[in-house]
Order: sequence, then C-alpha cells, then structure tokens
Amino acid sequence: MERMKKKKNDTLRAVIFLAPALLLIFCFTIIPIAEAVYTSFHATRYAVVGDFVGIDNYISVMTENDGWKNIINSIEYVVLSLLLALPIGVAIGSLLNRKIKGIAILRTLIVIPWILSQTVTALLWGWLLNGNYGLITYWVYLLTGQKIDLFSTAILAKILVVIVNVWNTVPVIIILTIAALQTISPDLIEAAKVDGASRRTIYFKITLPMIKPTMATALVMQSIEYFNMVTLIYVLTAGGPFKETQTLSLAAYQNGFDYWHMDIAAAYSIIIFVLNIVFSLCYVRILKAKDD
Amino acid sequence: MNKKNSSLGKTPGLDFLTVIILIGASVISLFPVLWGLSTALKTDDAVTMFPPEIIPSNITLDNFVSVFTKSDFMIYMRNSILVTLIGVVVATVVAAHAAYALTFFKIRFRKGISFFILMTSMVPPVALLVPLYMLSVKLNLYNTRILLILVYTAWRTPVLTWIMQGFFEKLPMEIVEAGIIDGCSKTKAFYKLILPISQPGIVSAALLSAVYVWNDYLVSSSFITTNEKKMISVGLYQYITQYGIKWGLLMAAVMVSIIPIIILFVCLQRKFVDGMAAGAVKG
Amino acid sequence: MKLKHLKKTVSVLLSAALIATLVGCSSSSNDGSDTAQSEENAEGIDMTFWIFLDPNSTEDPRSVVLSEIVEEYNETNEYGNTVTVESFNYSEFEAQAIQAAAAGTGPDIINCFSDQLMQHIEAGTVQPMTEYAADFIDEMGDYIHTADKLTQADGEIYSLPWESRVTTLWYRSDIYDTAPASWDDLLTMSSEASTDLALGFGIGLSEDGNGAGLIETFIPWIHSAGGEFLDEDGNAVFNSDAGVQVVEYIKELVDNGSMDQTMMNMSYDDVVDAFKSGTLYGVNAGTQRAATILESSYADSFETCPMPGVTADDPAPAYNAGQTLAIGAFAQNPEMSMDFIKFFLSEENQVKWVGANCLPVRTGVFDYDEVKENPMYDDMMEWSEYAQTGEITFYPADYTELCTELVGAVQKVVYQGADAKEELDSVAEWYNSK
Repeated sequence: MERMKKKKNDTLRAVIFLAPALLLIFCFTIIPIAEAVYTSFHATRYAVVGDFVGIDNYISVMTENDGWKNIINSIEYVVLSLLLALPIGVAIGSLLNRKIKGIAILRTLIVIPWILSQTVTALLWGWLLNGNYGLITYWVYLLTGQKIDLFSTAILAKILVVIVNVWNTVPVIIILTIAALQTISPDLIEAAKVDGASRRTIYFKITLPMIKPTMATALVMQSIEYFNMVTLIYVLTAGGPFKETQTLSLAAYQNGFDYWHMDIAAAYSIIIFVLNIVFSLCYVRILKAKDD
Repeated sequence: MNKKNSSLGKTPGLDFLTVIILIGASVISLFPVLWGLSTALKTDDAVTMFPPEIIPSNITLDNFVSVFTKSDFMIYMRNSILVTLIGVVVATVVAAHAAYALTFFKIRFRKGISFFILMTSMVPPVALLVPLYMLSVKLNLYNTRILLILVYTAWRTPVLTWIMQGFFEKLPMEIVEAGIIDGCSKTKAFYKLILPISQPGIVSAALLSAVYVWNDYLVSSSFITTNEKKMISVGLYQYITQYGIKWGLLMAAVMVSIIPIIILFVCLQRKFVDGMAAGAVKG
Repeated sequence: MKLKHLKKTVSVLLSAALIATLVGCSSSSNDGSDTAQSEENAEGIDMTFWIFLDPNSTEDPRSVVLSEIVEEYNETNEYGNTVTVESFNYSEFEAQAIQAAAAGTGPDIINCFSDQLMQHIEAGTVQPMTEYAADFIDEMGDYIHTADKLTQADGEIYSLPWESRVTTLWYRSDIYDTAPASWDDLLTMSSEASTDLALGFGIGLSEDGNGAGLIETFIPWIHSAGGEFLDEDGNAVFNSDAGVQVVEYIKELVDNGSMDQTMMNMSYDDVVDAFKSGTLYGVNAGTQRAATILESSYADSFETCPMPGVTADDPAPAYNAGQTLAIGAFAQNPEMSMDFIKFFLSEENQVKWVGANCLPVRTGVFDYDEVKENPMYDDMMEWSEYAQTGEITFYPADYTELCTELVGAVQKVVYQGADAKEELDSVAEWYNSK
C-alpha cells in the first residue's frame, strides 16, 4: 500500500522533473528531425520539399554519390579519433588531477585548444601545415632539405584530420576525467593503501573502474560529436584529396548547402542518425558485457 | 582531507615526471595558439612573410585596435555572453532535473526514455537547420536571441542529461537513501543532497555546453540577420572575406574572443576540482 | 549552510534567465510594432538590403563606402525611404537567401555574385527588373554591360552588376624577366623559376571553395584553346580537344616542376597567400584581391598582365565576374528597390567604389580627377582594357557542383596519371545527363 503510493508519487514527480526537458526537445529537435526524415523520402527544390519519391534519395546516396566510401571514411574518422582521444584524455586528465603546485595553470593551458572553434582550429592547422608556405613545412625543410606534403596523400590526410580533431577535442575528455576522479571518495583509496596495494594497482584496479561510467558517457558523446562533425573537415581539406576525407556529415553539408540537394542531404543525415544509434548501442552493449 | 589525499606519500620523482609530461602536452596544445597570437601582433606585410617570423620583429597592436574600434566586436561579445549564459544555465537546470528523475525515480520505461533523449542528439545539426528555419519563421521567432537560446538549450539538454545521469548513477546509494530516510522527500533530497555532491559533474557538464554554444557557428549564423543580435562566432567571420582571410585581424579577434571562456574555466575549475574534497558531503 | 546557498544560487539564476527571456521577448515584439507603425504613417518605406559586406566593419574600405552610400540615400531620396543593411558572410549568403525565399520572406534589395545569379533566380530569391533596368542602362550611357548581355534565357533582366573583376596573371617582376605572353612562355619561365622553397607558378587545385581556384583559370584557357565550357543550351562541352589541351597543359606544369603535389590541397585563398609569402612566383587571381595582395612585403615587385593564352600575344579571353544588385523576390515595392539600385549605380557612387579599389562598371568615372589620382589608376585602366576581351557570364545554377566535379577530374589526371579525355568525358556526361 505504502509502496504503491510511493510509486505513484514517483511517477508524478518524474513527469514534473522531465517535462521541461521533453518539451524543449520535442519543439526544437523532434519536430525538425521528423521533418528531416520526411524530407529524405521526398524530392526537394532548393529549400522547398516536393513530391514523394520513396527511397530514391537513399539509393542515389549509395549509387550515384559516394555513400559507401563516405560511410567507411566516417567510421575510420570516428574510430581513429576515439582511439586516440580517449586514452590521451584519460591519461592527461589523471595526471592533471594530482595535487602538485602550479597544476591549475597547466590545467588551464592544456584545455585552451578546445576553446577555439572548429573553423579557427582548421584554419590555424591548415596554415601551419600548408605544404607550400606553412611554418611546420618550413621547419621540416630546414631539417631535411625537403618540404613535407601532408595533404595530398590519402592516408596522411586522413591521419592529419584525426590528429587535428583530437587536438581540438581531447580537453572534453580531460575535463570529464577530472570531474569523475573528483567524485571518487578518498577513503576508498586510503583503504586500498592500508591494504598494501601499490600505486599502479590502485589506479588500474580501483580508480579506472570507478570512472568507467563517465568514460562510457564521454565515449558515446564524442562518438556522436565526431560523426556529426562538419566544419573542421570542411575547412581543413574540404573532403580532399580524391574525397578520401569526405565523411558522411561533410557530404550531407556539401549536398545540402553547396549544391542544394536538400533531399540527398537529408538522406545522408538519416544514415548518420542510424549509424549513431547503432554505434551507441554497441558501446553500451560492450561496456555492459565487460561488467558482467 | 588534505592529509588523506597525500597519504600515498610524497613522491617528488613522480611529481617531476608528471610535470614534464604535462608541460610537453601544454606545448603541443599551445603551439598553434601562440602562432595565432604572434600573427595577431604582426603588421600586414609580416603576416605572410616567408620564412615565417615566430616572434614578430615589429610588434604592433594595430590589429587589436582595429578589432575593437572598427567593428561591433563588443556587441557580438555581449550577445555571446548573454546567450551562452542563459542557454547553459537553463539547459543545465532542465537537464539536471531530467537526469535525477531518470536515475532515482522508479518509473516505467526509464532506460527507454533515457536512451530516447540521448537519441535526439544524434541527428546531425545540418539536417535540422532548414526545418528549424521554417519553424522559426512560422513561430515569429526568427532573428531573435530567444530562438538561439531555445535551440541551444534544446540541443544541449540530451547530452547534459546523459552526462549528469552518469554522475548521479555513481553516487553511493547509501547517501541518497540515508537522506531520504532522514525525512527528506525525493524532491528535497535532490536540492539538498544530490546537487551539492554532484557539483563536479554538473559544473563540468555545464562548462562543456558553454564552450559548445560559444563556438557554434551553424545555429548562430543561420537564425540571425541583424548585426545587433549576432554572436561572436559569427563576428569572427567578418575577417574571413571574399577577398581572402585577414589573418592578423582574425587572430586578434580570436585571441580576445577566447578570454571570457578562459576566465570562466579558471573560475569554475575550483568548483569541479574541489567538489568532493571541499566537504560538500558533510554539508 | 552551503546547501541553502546553492539552492539560492540556482533560483536566482533561474529567475535571471526567466527575466532575460521576457525582456528579450518584449524587445523583439517591439521590433515588430515599430515597423508596423512606420509603414502606416510615413510616405516612404523601410527596405532591407542583403549584402556580403558588413557596414559595421569599417576596417574594409568597401564597407565604409557601402555605409556612406546607404546613409546618403536615406537622407536624400525623394520618397522618404530608408534602407537597412543586413550582412551575411559570403560563405553562407546563398543559404540565407534561399532559405528565406522558401519561407516566403527576404530582403527588398539583394546582392548576388554573378556566378551565383542563376542559383538565385532558380531558387526564387530575386524577381525580374527588366521594365526598369532596360531604360536605366540606356540612361547611364557609359555602362560596360549591354541590356542584351544581362538578359537571361527567359528574356528577363534580373540584376545589374555594380563592380567588375577580372582574373589576371600576377607575377614577380624580380623573378620573371618579362610578362609571360603564352603558355610556352609561362611553362619555361615558371619551371626555371622554381626552387626548393618556392614554385614558379600555382593554381589552387583543391575542392575547397568548390573549385574556384581552378575554374577561373580553366575557363579562360579553354576559350584560348578554341573551346567552350558550356554550349548555348547549357550542356557541358569542355570535354573537347581544347579542354583536354588545358588539362594536359596543367599536367605539364606539374611535370616540369612549375607546380607540385601541394597544389592539390591549395584553395584560391591559399595560392594568393602563397604568392604574398613569396613561395609562389605567379598565380592567376582576380583583381578584387589586389588590395589584399599588395599588403605583402614583396608588393613592389608584383606585376599583373593578361592571362597568357595558347599563342603568344593573344592572351586568354578574360574571365569576368562581378557583384550585382537585384530586386528581392519579396520586395514590398519593386519600384522603390530599383530606386535604390539606381542610386547605388550613380556615377558619383561608382567613383567612391573606385576609391575602395573596386573596378567600376561605368567608364565615365575614369574622367574624374579623384579616380585619376588613385594610385592604382594605371592598373585599373589596364585591367578594364583586358576585361573587354571577355564577357560577364552567368553560369548555370548547378555550377558549383560542376566545378567541384571538374576539380576532381583534373586532380586525377594531373596527380594520378588518369587520361584527360576520359576524365573530362565522364564529368561532362554526368553533368549532361542530370
């Protein structure tokens, strides 16, 4: 009886607590998403939606456009970025959490790249690495007598885009790591210490498992962010060389706002949406499986 | 507390190594930024000089002066501060409530709702721009800062909820339950207990969103037409022109535009670094 | 204690947000009533003018001229109209206009770049101005474009260019002994000029900027080789012998060391910056960039000349483009929009544009003393003369997409050894089958 009442209370309160979030999301995300899905099954003329065309847009993405190549490029980009950003972020975050004099300054300096927008990040790196007049190119020339040309080889260009992305976004993971480390009770560490555990054991057996949920959050969040990223790549390589760095979201942007095929862009976007869902579910699964 | 933290013993060797690694990391972090700063301090002809000058031989503040006197830079900054602050505060408050409900209330479809909310952040913004444009014109919200705030709030809420849920789930259940038994209702427990002890998570999540809003170009450039309402991310584009990029001015503007966020970070840092250690638990 | 404090903070912040929201709401509703009022009682109308220049950014002389002209119009026009400028970055200008048109709104006067005009027409952001423009062109007398040339396929004039630009060869007079007069000249001189650090010549071959870096060179060159880019019906015909010749010449430039692999990731902006840096000794670039180019420390040895063509002394026909003004599709009163456009194009205002380093569209301005005193007067005369070897062209609405594809094809030929004819064929075929 008492319990039932409690549950009812919970539901009512939950509705109140959730309502603002759901309302906002409904108006400014769900409605536009529904429209985007709708658009992806219709023909468009500039920004005006026209006739129903079934799955023609999706077929066109996969056949006339470079849909498959874009999907592979996107997955490469996201997975490589995550493989670099997560370990680096957790490592630096852990180091930045140590109590050392002056660490607050280092903490501030290290997160600065993240404050730069994607445009500025891409412009700066594109300039520094420009094969003709970039500063880094010049330094390499001084050392080796030859200029480096990083952007005209597919593999190098792909790696470079990932590195610039990681440079720009790794502070997100650093900050989440620090925040997560802060919520670990010092008593726990103390207890382990008393039990004679080594520093390394404490870190890998206690600390890391404790921050795993936050890392899972960061993983899902950044994965979505990377899949959806446009500006950085658009400014840095515009998808070149030979469309080797053209990801799904870049293709969506170019088709939408450069060529005004909003229908194709919508289809691209829905494919990204689906990939995001699939990947997020995978992360959740994998992390769960490891727990058991 | 401090004693406990340092109970692993003094380790000068390890500290030294830590500092060395971190200084290395800061060099990589800062190098392009310093290049930008150096560019901002150069005269026009020195900007494209080759071999490049790392430290300008002829330091000038002209670019900074131009940024402040020859554009509406301060208006853009004011708008950015306004929109970012309101947007992030509202989004954080809204998301914190949602996350609390999804973590601690016994409701049906909890997991489902939670994933559904996250899912709404998975569609690329590119696909949402045109529908939102049409919607905002219909709602008469086009070219208002309210629209920016609403869109940012709505777009950041899912991720914020997700992050905060992560932090809430990790809270020791004993504390929460003890609090509730102590006579607080679940609502009261949220404000009195959960919020304070989750401060590091909430603050860091809010910070992440603040930077997102501050830097966003897609939304802020799509929905605003009048100069008086433009945000700084759009303002920076005045130096990326049809006639080429005005590197000196752009970099000067960038250097100034990141200052508010750096200040915010420095201020909030204490909040999320000392969250638990500050003894909020005992409250 | 701490808890109370936090709770208080949260509630304060919430109420602050609420108040700010309300204030913002009321101010935005005010905006609406203001315009409604002025429409009722004043004789003139309030018009909006969309352009890529930002009148509040006074760093660029063009912006200063823009606000001067608008201010003067607002003060002096006989109808009591006022014009308000709303500016968008050039990179998102079309997006704004096209979305607005789809939503049934838009400005009274809109600036369109000539390359993008057809896109504006197709997307319905502009409306015909033939009834006003045809007479006005006659009235002006010294306008460099004829009504005929500005008339589109549907028999209507949609916009009037207010500035002109032409792509010329910029080269270093300290490196090149003379201005290269032909393809052969350019090839020999530029390949000899190349060093470890600098290249003799450069064309931006990246996808960036939708291939603008290549296209402004490709089109004059294909004309010079006796070919056409598109035929009269808008079909792609660049896969002709002339087109193949151009692509193979670009490949030759690379093979002979005038250019190298790095060009593949260089945009139009990048090659210009490289030229300013002194790591490229020659580029094809539009005259609208002159002011920025001359900021370089090498400016003293910068020279321009007509873009070399296939044969000596017969330069490639000029690639002309220009910013144009059009009447917005949803203009309140097209006649009033046109009134502003006429004012904008007055000889006095053209003189002002010359002062901001824009090539004028009215030849009469060259007689003005202020113009003759302009330090770039001689250059401008030269450019205007070269511009006459070509015509302003309005490319089809899907031009950007075509340019990007074409860049891809050229990249493949130049850097991957693909066959020029085959690559051009496949792009032309794709385009013509759309």
